[in-house]
Amino acid sequence: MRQLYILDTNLRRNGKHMAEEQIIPISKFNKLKKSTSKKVTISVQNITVSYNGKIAVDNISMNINQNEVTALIGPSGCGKSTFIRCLNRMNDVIENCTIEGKIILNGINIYNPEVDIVKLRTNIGMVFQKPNPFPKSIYDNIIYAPKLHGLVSNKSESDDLVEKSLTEAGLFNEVKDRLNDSGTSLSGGQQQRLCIARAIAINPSVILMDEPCSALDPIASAIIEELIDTLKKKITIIIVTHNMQQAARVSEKTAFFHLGKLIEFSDTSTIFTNPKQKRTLGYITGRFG
Amino acid sequence: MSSIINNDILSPISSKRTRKEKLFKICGLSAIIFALSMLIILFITIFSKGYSAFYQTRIKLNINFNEELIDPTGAREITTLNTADYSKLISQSLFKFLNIDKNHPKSSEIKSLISYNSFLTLRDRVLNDPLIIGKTVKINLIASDDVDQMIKGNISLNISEENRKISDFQIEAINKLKSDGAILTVFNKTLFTKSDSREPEVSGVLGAIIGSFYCLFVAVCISVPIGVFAAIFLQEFAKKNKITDFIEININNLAAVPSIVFGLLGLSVFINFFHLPRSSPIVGGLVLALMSLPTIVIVTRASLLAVPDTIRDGAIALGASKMQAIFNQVLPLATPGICTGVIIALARALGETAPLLMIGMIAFIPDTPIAITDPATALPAQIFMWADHPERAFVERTSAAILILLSFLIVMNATAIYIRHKFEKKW
Amino acid sequence: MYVFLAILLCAFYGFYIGKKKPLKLVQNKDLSKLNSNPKYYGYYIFLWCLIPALITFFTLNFFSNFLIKQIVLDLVPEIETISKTNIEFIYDQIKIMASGNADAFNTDENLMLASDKYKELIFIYDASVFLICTCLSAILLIFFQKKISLEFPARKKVEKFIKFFLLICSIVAVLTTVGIVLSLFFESLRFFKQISFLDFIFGFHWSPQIAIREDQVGSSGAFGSIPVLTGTFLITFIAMIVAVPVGLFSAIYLSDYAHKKVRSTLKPLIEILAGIPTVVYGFFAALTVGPFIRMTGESIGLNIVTESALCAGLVMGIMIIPFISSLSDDIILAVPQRIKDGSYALGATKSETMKKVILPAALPGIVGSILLAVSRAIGETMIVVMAAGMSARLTANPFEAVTTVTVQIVTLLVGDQEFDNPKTLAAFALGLELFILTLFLNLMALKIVQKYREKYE
Ligand SMILES: Nc1ncnc2c1ncn2[C@@H]1O[C@H](COP(=O)(O)OP(=O)(O)OP(=O)(O)O)[C@@H](O)[C@H]1O
Ligand SMILES: [Mg+2]
Repeated sequence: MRQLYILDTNLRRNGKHMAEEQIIPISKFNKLKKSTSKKVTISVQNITVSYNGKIAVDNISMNINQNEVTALIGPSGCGKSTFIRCLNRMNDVIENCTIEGKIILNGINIYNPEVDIVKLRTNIGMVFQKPNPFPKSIYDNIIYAPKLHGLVSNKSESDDLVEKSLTEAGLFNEVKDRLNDSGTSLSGGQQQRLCIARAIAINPSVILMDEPCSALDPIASAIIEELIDTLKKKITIIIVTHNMQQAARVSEKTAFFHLGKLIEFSDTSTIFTNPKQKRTLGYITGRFG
Repeated sequence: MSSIINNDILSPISSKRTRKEKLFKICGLSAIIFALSMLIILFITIFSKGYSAFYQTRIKLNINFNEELIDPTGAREITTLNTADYSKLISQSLFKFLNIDKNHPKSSEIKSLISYNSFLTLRDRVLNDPLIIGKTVKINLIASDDVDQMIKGNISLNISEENRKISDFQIEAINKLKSDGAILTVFNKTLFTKSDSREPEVSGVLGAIIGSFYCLFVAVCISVPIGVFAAIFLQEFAKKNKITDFIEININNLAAVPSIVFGLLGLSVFINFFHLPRSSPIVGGLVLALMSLPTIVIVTRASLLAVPDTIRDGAIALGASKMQAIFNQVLPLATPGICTGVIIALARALGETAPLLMIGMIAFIPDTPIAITDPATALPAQIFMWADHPERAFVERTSAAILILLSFLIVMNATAIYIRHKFEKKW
Repeated sequence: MYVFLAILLCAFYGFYIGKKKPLKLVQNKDLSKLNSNPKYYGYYIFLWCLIPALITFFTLNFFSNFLIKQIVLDLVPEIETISKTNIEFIYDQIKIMASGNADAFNTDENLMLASDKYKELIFIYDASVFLICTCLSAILLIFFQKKISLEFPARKKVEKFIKFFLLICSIVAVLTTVGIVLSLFFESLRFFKQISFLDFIFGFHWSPQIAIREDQVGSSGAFGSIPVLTGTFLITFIAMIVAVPVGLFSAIYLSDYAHKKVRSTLKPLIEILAGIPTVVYGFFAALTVGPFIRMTGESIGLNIVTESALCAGLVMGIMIIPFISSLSDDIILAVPQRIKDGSYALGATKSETMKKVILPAALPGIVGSILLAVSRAIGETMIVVMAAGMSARLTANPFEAVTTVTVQIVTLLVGDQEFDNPKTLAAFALGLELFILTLFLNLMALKIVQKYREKYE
């Protein structure tokens, strides 16, 4: 067997600082997951995205399984964000962006002109790289979307929903005394969890996360990773990350992107121990990217 | 649970939300349409009222420079030639043309077909070339404003005679002149070669344009160096402290002080305290300079800020002093931006009227100013004065003056945009 | 004139010497021994020759004017009894006579005498100024060229001077404000010596027509500024009713709904509205909008005057639209895209995002821009002068004619000005009122906008 080495922050075990990083032979690292689910939530078929005619995502097809975490990795600029933003049509906001291909969600192509983009986005939530709470109170941040979609009708329902979402996001205990403070007054990690809480408040079936931890310190990242672990029981999660350990820790399946192309897509355990492609191997061992 | 929502991504969101969304969009669109249609209406009104001022009615007459009337002694002395009754020459030829007796009760109505000032044209002809005396020459004389308006179709002939500016008898005469081909419409040169006058048909904007030009000249000479230097100081040298903060607040506030207040300043400081001449372009220019100073400072600072620090560091690393780096490297790079800003500030100053009213640049000044201390008026002030005259001919000229002013502004702004595009740099 | 020439000559010669001397000082043309580039020695001498002499010239000029006037007018008999405006007139006459253009009408013995004296004084003055300034320049030239040595830090000194000069330039802005405040304040003070301050601030009656001659019948003049202020506010209010929604919605549409290309053509088009001179709007209001509103009113049975507050306010509103729209546009665009994305990702529509997330976040900035627009509307002159009335009426009816602060300033000051008459001085009191009002609005707006900017930086 090839000897692969990856970094492990070991955080879950001792909660200590990054400096504790150690190199462990991958063969000893037996926690890597495999996909077990048989149900496909999203089926991406030949998606090509271009900005001003310049192709950023090139003819990608993949299936995303229900109640699993799918990680997207790849060097900077390879089109991960562009791809993930296709899944809830966030690219529609960008003017010079053209998208071809199909994305089937429960039997319906989301690029079908009849699909209501607003409805789609209530189904597929998104968490961004930089925490982006609205400049409103924590309470209003959570209740904003449920109110829009008419999910709550009175104050007590709202209170319940806020509490439930914040608890699910593991934030409730930290902020329960200051729900009326501005969302921007929280720490970065708390803000990001607030954004997750805000997303799950409307019960999406899928959550897209674009580098949710890149602006956070390791401890805050670890908390979010744990959160992802619990959330996936209910929700399908697609996560973009630059942190290979994170991908290895949280995901069942991993996709490796390079220059807009999907190079390899399979079980996380396969990608990190026995990749089929040379480029994947090069990337995860840190030889390029 | 989640599958409940899943299945209806085809079904639209609640109609209430869709309606609100649509309504919002329509509001935005109609706001834009409102603003643009106002712009269009404004331009169309001014243009439709003003374009006719660019041509003018003339009456072609055979003028007999009768020696007996002009200079019976034949001495050709300047004073005699100067004071001769040239109006009579005109009326004689007019009566002859129309076959009307000079004692006809309505003969004065016929005389008034020709602009009152036309005798000056004849006098100048004679003074230029005394040999013309005794000859008969075809001359195009400026018609009076009422005739001009009638020919342009601005006087309704259907209303009763006493409500009309032009009598039936005059109309008859005009029609006769017309059928004989004596009525011409030509390009209105007077508008560009004459200054203000009580008679609309011989009034022009030359004096006002020169006045405006002098004002701008003074304003540029003062506000551009001071503004640019002040901006360089504030942007590049000033340390952040209370004093520079105060100067900054001052400049930002000055940019929003009503222009009329600058007029009051000019009146009490430049005219009452320093005794500079009232109504003169120098005072006007000073006031406009102070007014555009804050704008120039603000744009210059923005242009300096846009030059990246690497340029300064690069020059300083080569052993230039900070002063040299800024004047030799940064300032040239910021110049296009500064020019754009200065032109826009000046365009605004060119259209400014209120402060000029305060310092008396709205007097009736029929002479074209020569020096910057001569009494003068400016283009917008001229528009203001003409707008006060109810005559149709002045409405036409006001609109024409506005068109001229607007075309100056368009040229200036176009230059500014051109400079910006031509030299725009992305760092 | 000759003075300038002489000084300049001196200064250029100084530049030449200053540049040559250090070159002579160094051996073998080894410039690296010099403290600064030889040019700077030239500049250094140049500045010393030029600046002090010029300052002396202008100071002398300023004071001598007063002195000469005093001496000359003392020769005119019974000068104490003549009023101030007439003194100016007489002095002008003397000047004209001295310049040789004595008109035939004035051969008054005393004035002749005075004008001769004037001529004499001017001659003495010119000669002495010429001598003083040129000598000063030359002395400084000799003195400072001696100072030049190898170690002399010429560049530093010149740069120090330039920096000082730059500082002076930026102080001009402060001086302008000081000038505005002082001039308005002192003229107003003279006004309040004749008219009670409280009457002005709280008076309900404004009719500034005052009898100039004793025997003239008519009003005695009333200077209560309340109706003028209410008129101003009424017109401003109408303008804001037009401009705020239109401007705000245009900004929203342009920043969020319009395509990039549409936006890049529409935005400058709307901004043309801000570039049109106000006198044009005034003409438009008086000629087209006023009669149109009156006719519309007639057709639905309303009696609207041509010079109604509605007409002036409406046109002013049109003028203000681009101020609000472009300021708001900037402010809306300053809300980071990621916050908008956050809202869209939760399934909010564009209008919901705008209403519930962006506008609340941008509110302070928008309020700031509206305040700036209000300040602009209050100070706007030409539209109201041409389209609003003169009658100071205390009314909130937009169909009636009202007057504004700026209209009154213009009517009081256009024409004859007599600076000992409350009628003229009242304009300055109104000007002070206007300045304070707009200053307050501007400072508030600037502060709000600045605070808002910091939030996203
Ligand atoms: N709005 C845009 N307009 C034009 N080109 C864009 C735009 N957004 C992204 N691109 C281009 O598309 C390509 C893919 O960008 P994308 O943001 O998807 O990369 P990424 O994999 O997310 O990179 P990173 O890891 O740095 O976030 C890049 O070459 C980028 O320059
Ligand atoms: Mg990305």
